[in-house]
Amino acid sequence: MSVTRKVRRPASTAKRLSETQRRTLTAYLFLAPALAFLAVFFFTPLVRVIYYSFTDFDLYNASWIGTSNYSELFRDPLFWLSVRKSFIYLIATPILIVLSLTLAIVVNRKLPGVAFFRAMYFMPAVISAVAIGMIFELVFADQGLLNGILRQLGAIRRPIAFLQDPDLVLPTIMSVTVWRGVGYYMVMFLAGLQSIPQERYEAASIDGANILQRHWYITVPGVRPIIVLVGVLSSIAALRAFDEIFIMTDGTGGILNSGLTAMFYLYRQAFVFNNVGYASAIAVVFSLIIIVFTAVNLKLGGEQ
Amino acid sequence: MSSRARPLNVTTWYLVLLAVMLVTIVPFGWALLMSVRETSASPFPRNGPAQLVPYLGLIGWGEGLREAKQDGLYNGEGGWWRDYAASPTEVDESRERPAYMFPLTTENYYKVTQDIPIGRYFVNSLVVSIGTVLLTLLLCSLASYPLAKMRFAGRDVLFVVILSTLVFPEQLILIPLYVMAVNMLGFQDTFHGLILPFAASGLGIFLLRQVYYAIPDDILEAARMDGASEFGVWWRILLPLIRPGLATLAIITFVASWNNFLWPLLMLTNNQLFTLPVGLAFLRGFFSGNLRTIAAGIVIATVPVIVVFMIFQRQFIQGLAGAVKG
Amino acid sequence: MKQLRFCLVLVLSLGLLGSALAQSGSEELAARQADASNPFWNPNEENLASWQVIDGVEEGAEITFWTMSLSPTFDEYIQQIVANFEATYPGVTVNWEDVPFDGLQARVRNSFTAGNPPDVANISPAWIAEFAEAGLLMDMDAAMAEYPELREQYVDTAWNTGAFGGTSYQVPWYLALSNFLGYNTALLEECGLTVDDLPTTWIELETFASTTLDTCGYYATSLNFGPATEQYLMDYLIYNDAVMVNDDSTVDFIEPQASEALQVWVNLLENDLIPRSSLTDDHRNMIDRFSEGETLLVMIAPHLLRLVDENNPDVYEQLAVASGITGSSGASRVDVQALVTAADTEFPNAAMALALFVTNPETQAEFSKWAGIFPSNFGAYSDPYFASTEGGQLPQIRPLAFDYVQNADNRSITFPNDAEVQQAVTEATQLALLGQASPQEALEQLETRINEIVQQ
Repeated sequence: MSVTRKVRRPASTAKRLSETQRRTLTAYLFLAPALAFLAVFFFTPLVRVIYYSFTDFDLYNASWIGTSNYSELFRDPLFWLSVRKSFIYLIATPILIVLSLTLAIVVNRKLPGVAFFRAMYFMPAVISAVAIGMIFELVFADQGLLNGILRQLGAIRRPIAFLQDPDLVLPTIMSVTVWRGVGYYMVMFLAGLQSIPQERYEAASIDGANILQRHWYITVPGVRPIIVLVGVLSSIAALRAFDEIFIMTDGTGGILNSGLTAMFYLYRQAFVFNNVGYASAIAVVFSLIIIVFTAVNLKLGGEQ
Repeated sequence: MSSRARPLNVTTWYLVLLAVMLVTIVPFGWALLMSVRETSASPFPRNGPAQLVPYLGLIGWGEGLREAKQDGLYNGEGGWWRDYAASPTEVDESRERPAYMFPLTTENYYKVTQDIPIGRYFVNSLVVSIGTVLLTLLLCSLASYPLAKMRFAGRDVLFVVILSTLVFPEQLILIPLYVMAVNMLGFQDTFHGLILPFAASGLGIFLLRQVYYAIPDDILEAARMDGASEFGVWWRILLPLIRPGLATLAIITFVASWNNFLWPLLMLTNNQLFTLPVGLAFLRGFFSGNLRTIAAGIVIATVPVIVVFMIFQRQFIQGLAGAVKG
Repeated sequence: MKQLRFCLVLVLSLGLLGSALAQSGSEELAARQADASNPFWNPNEENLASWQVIDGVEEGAEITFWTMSLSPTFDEYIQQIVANFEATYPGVTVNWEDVPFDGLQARVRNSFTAGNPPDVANISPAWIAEFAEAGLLMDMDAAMAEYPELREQYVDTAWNTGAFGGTSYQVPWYLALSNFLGYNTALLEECGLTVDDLPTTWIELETFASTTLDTCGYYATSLNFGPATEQYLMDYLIYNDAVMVNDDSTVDFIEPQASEALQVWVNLLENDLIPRSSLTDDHRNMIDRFSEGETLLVMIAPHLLRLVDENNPDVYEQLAVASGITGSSGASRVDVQALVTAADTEFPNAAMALALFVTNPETQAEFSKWAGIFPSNFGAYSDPYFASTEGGQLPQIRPLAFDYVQNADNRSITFPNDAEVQQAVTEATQLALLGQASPQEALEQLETRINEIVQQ
C-alpha cells in the first residue's frame, strides 16, 4: 500500500503526459482501418503501376526493360490517336455546363410539381451507363427510333449508320454521356442558384436588363464556383468514360478505332492483349496529362 | 430571376418542362415499346404509318409458348398463354386493325427471364452495393472524426495524404489493382473482391470531415466530462449528429457501386455472380441481335431502380446538393 | 472480352443441346430404352464382345471421367455408357463427374498442378496446346499405332484438331457441323428463284444478292463483321487458299487470290447488297434478321437452327437447308469436342479404352439421336437414322452430314499474341470495307503487321 502511495504523484504526471500520447493513439486507432485500406488498395497499386511501366509484364512474368515502354508509347500513333479522342470527348464538358445550368434556371421556380420534373431530369444519373448505353443502342440502331422518325419525316431514305460510320461513332456516344449527365449537374447548379439573393435580379429588372443579361451578369458570376466544380468533375468523367463506349462499340473500341479513347486503349492493351507493362505506361502518361489538365483548369477557374 | 411566375408564363413554363422531360423519358419509352413487340422489325415500317399503339396479342407466362403460337391458346400445366389477336372473338369482328397498331406480347419478358437470372443479378448488386456502403460509412466516419475534432501529431500531413488520393485518376491504379486481386488476393469471383477496393474513399473522408466541423466542440467536451470514452462519444453522440452527412455519402456510394461496371467485369467470370451491369452486358451478348428480348431485359433491370429513385428522389437530390454545398 | 464472348457462343450451343433434348421428349427415349434390339440400351453378349477392342486393360482399374456441361440433361445417357463400359471390361470402375464449362479449364489446370488429373476428360481442343506442351497429355498417335484399323474409323480432320507439334493428343468425341446454308423457301419462291439458284461460293453470293434485291427487294443475307465473328477475314482467306503460313507463324498472302476474295466482301457492302450494319453485326444478328423474314439466307451451324424456331416458328416452317457457302477451297470446318487422357495415368489402357468406348459407333450414334450433334466416327453413320429425314434431331441436316464430315477440313490457325493479330485483322477488314484502302493495300499492311506481332 505504501508503495502505491509513494508513486501516486509521479503517476499523475505520467498520466498527464500520456494524455497527448493517448489522444494521438486514439486518433490513429480511428484512422487505422481507413489508412490500411488506402495503403493496400491505393498506395500499393500506385507504386506498382510505376514499377510495371518499366517492365515487360504479361500477368505472369515481369522483366525489367527500362524505359522501352515509354519510348515505344511516344512512337505509337494509336496512343496519340486515343489521347486525341479523349480530348475530343471533352467537348461534352462545355455542352454539359451550358445545358445543365440552363435547365437548373428553368426548374428553379416555385411552381407546383416542379420537384417532379427535377426528379425526372435527374433520373438518368441513377441508372447504370451500361443500361443507358443499351437503351441508346436501340435508339440509334438502323431499325431504331431516330432512323425511324427521320424516315417517317422523309428526311432520309437510307438509315444513318450512327455506330457503323467512323465519323459518327464518337459524337453518338458523347451525346449519350451528355444526356445522362445533364440532370446530375443540374442539381449541383440548383444548389448554387438558391444561394443567389433574389433582390439582385429584381434590381437588374428595374434597371431594364433583359432575361439573358440578367443571367449573364448575375447568375453566371453567382455560380462560378459550381461552374468550376462541374467543369472539373465532368471533364474527369469524360476523360475516363468507358462503360458507354464499351457497350455501344460491343467491346471493340468502335469501327476503325473510332471510339478508342485513351481509357479504352489502356483497357485493350492490359486486358485484351495482356500487355500489362505497356498498359501501365499508358496509365502513367495519361494520368499525368489528366492531372496537368485539371490543375490548369482549376487555376484558370480560380483566377477569374 | 423571379420566383413568382406571372400567370401567363406558367403554361409556357410547363410546356418547356414537359418538352425537356420528353427528351429524358422517350428513350426509356422506346425500350418499353420494343420490349412488348412480337418482332424485332422496326415499328416504323418502310411504307405506312408508325406502329405505336398496342393491342393485346400473345399474353401469358410459363410453358406452352410454342403451342400458343400455333393454336392461339395454351392452358396446361406450368403455363398459360393466349393470343388475343388470333382469338375467335376478334375474328368475328372481322375488322382489320388500323396500320398504326401492333400486337402487344409478354413473350420477350418470359424468354429473357428463362435464359438470364436477372433476379439473381439484382440480389448480387444489392449485396455488393449495401456491403460497400456500410463499410465505406464505417471507415470514413471513423477516419474523419479525429481529422476534424482532435489535435495530434501528423494530422495535417495525413489529411494531405488522404486528399492526394483524389488527385490521381482511378485508371492509374486499375492495372496493378487487378494484378493484385488476381495473383495475390484471390478476389476473382468473390463479392468481397468487389467491395473492399472501394471501401476507403478519400472523398468520403473529406465530406464527413466537413460535417464533423460543423458540430460545436462544447457538445464533445460535455460528453468527455461525463467520462465517456472517445469511442463512446463518437458512437453515441457524434454518429446521430452527422446522420444527414452519412445519408449523403451513402447515396453517392450506393449509386457509384450499383453502377460500377469495369471492375466487376474484370473480376467476375461465373455468370451466377454477375452484378446487374455485368449481367446486362452478358444479356446483350447472349441475345445479340434480338432487340426485343434485350429491351425486355433492360426494362426489368431499370424499372425497379426508377421506382426506388422516385420514392427517395428528395433524399437523392438533396443529398447531392448537400455534398456540393459542403 | 473477346474471350468472354467466345465462351458465350459455346455455352449457348451447349445450352441448346439441352433444350434440343427437352424437345425430343421422354416418351421417345423410353421407347428406345425399351427396344430390345437397341444395342446401346440393351447390349447383348455379342455387342459387349465387339466393343472390347483394347488389350491389356488393367484388372481392378478405377478411372475418373470428366464431361463438360452435359449434366443433368444427359445423365441417363452417360450413366448407360458407364454401365456398358463396365460390362465390356469387367473389373474396371468408372467414376463419372460432370464439370460446367465455366470452371473446367481452371479445374483441369489445377488438377494437373495438384497431381490428381482425371484419367479421361472432355476439353476444348483449344486448350490442348497448353497441356501438351507441358507433357501432361497422352500422345494418342503413338497410343493408337497398335490399332490402325480403329484409328481409321475417325474423321481425320477431327483427329488432328488441336494437334500440337504435328501430334494429336486427343480422341475426337462429338462434332458440330458449322457451315450450312439455311434458306427461306417462301421468299425464294417470291423472288422467282429455285434451289438451283442458291449460291455455293462467295462469288455466286454476290450475283445472287443483286438478283434478289432487283427482283423482289429482299436482302439475300446480312453478314457479320462485328466482334466474335464468323466472317473472320483470316479464316475466309485460308479457306480461299490465299494464305501461306510459315513455320514461325508468319504469313504470306497469296496474290491476287487474297485481294480478289476480299474484293467480294467489299463489293457486297459498297453496292449495298447487304445491310450496312453488317459492319458491326455478330452472328446472332444474321440469324435474327433471317428469323424476321428480312433476308433469304442464313449461314448457320445446324444446332443453332433452333434459334430461328424460337424467334419465329412461321419462318422456321419455311426453312430448308442446303450445303454451305465455301471459299475456293470448297472445304468447311467442324467443331470438335476432345477427349484427353493424362500422360501419367496409373491405368493407361483402361483410360484409352474408355476414350475409345465413348466414341465408338453405337455409343456416338445414340448420342446424335439425343442432341443436334454428329459422330466423329465414320462407323456411326451406317445407322439408318442418318439417312432418314423423319423425326429425331436436325432431320434437314442428317442426310448431308456424312458428306460434310468426309470433306471437312479444319484449317484455322492460332497465332502467338492472337488477340493482337485478331485486332489487326479486324482493322484491315474495316479499312477495306469502308473503302479507306484498296483490298490489296489493306492486305499488304496486314501482312506486315501480323509478321511484326508474331515475332515480338
